[in-house]
Amino acid sequence: MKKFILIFAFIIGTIQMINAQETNEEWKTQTHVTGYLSLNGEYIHNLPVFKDVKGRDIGLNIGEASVLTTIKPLEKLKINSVVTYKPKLTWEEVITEISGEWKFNEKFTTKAGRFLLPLHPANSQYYAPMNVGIALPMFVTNQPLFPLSMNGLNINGDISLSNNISIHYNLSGGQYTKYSKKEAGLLGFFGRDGVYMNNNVEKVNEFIQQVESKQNGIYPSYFGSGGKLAIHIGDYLEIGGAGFFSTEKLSKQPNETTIFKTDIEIINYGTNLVFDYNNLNIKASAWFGNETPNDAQHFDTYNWEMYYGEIAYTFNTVTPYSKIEIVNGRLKDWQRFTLGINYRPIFETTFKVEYHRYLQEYVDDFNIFQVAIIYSF
Amino acid sequence: MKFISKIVLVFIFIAGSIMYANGQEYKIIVNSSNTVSSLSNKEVSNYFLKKKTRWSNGTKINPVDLSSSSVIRKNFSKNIHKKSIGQVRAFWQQSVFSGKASPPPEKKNDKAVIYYVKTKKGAIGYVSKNANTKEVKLITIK
Repeated sequence: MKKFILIFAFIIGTIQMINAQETNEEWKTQTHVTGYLSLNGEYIHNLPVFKDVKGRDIGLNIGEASVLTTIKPLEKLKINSVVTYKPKLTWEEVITEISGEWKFNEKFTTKAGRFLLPLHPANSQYYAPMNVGIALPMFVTNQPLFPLSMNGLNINGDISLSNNISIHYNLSGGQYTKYSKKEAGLLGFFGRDGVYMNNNVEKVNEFIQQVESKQNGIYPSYFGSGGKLAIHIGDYLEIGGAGFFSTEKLSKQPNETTIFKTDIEIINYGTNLVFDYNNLNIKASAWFGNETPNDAQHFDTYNWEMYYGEIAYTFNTVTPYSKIEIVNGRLKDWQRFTLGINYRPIFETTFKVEYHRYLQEYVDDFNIFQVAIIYSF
Repeated sequence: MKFISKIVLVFIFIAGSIMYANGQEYKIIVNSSNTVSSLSNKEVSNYFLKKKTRWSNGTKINPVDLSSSSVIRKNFSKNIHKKSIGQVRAFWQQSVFSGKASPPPEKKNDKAVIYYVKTKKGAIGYVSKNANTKEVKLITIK
């Protein structure tokens, strides 16, 4: 809480100082506000254990709402804030982004505050207009490899090699909270799908109770850093690699005030590809990682592999798409296939229909159906 | 008979409105210090979508749009971007949420666009064909 007040005070103070200095300059403060409201429907089919635990397998409600405000008090300074509502979020998560950015030039930009960690295209899909589909990629909901956002510092830039080719770099460091196994979506199934897939069906109920008991405490926070290096060819191809590292974890037990500091070694790395030509959009990535708690009680290394593929083609206002996600997790491996249609007849209104099928050797296959109507402004 | 007259009047009104909307042509303007005199459709589109951010002499490109309800903007989007205003707004919404770029400022009318272009070195804008553009430079499309 104190950190946010300090960051906020710093940003407001900076704006005041700059405003005081710029009265004779020609730049006029630019403000841009945009956002959306999404009404969602969700139905989980053929997963009886979920109904046993949660009591319902169908829902219709506000799935998401977000307001983004950008203020440019100076040509080189941008203040960015995004407030997002989604079911089951903590108030800290509601403030998705609040940062101040100073752009020295195309080659060097600095940013401070809370921002989405730009290591993977999936993180920017956190917002409905950025996601062709409805459900978030498992990279975001399960967060086994890197967090969604970070409170800290970021530097980035583009170095042009020729008219058509440029190198993009992006480095971030700071504190983050790991919201793994946290409920997402209307019914709270997304984000916990790993729990269902990793544990025998009979043990899910017991496991969910353990997870919920832990979540009465505070999610662990970490210190970490990450970087990304990518080559851009025109505005149609981005290919590159990224890595994320963490060495210290701070955690708290439910109803206790003592904070425990643990040495930990998290090393994750991966490669991403984004291809966007004419109306065809392809995203693909392969990420690998491991986590080793360096304390006396826990010394097992957890290994992860995640693969992601997405293809979409836009016919005027209609975009059919398909996604595949493969997780080789700590205990078991599973896959999720997605098919959907996105229809945006006008800027203000988008309709989405989506179907998911989960596959795993030890659990019967099951399906999830989703619909969404999004109003943008 | 009266009923038929009303129908004819409504038809003429609608047809006239459509013809007016489609007939609203535009011209592209830049700051008078700019040495560029002609551009292709693709180049103009890239400048307005901020896919290219510098003029050939290194000056920053500062595009300026008319408001999203403008008929001139509708025709400009259709001819230059080959997209509807809605599709261009969707593009900007995605750019803003991904932190890549923010849209050009929007001005209410030709006069405000001309003032912006006149006073900003790297500016580029578009106004209706009948606007007085003495104080800025006209660009021809290749």
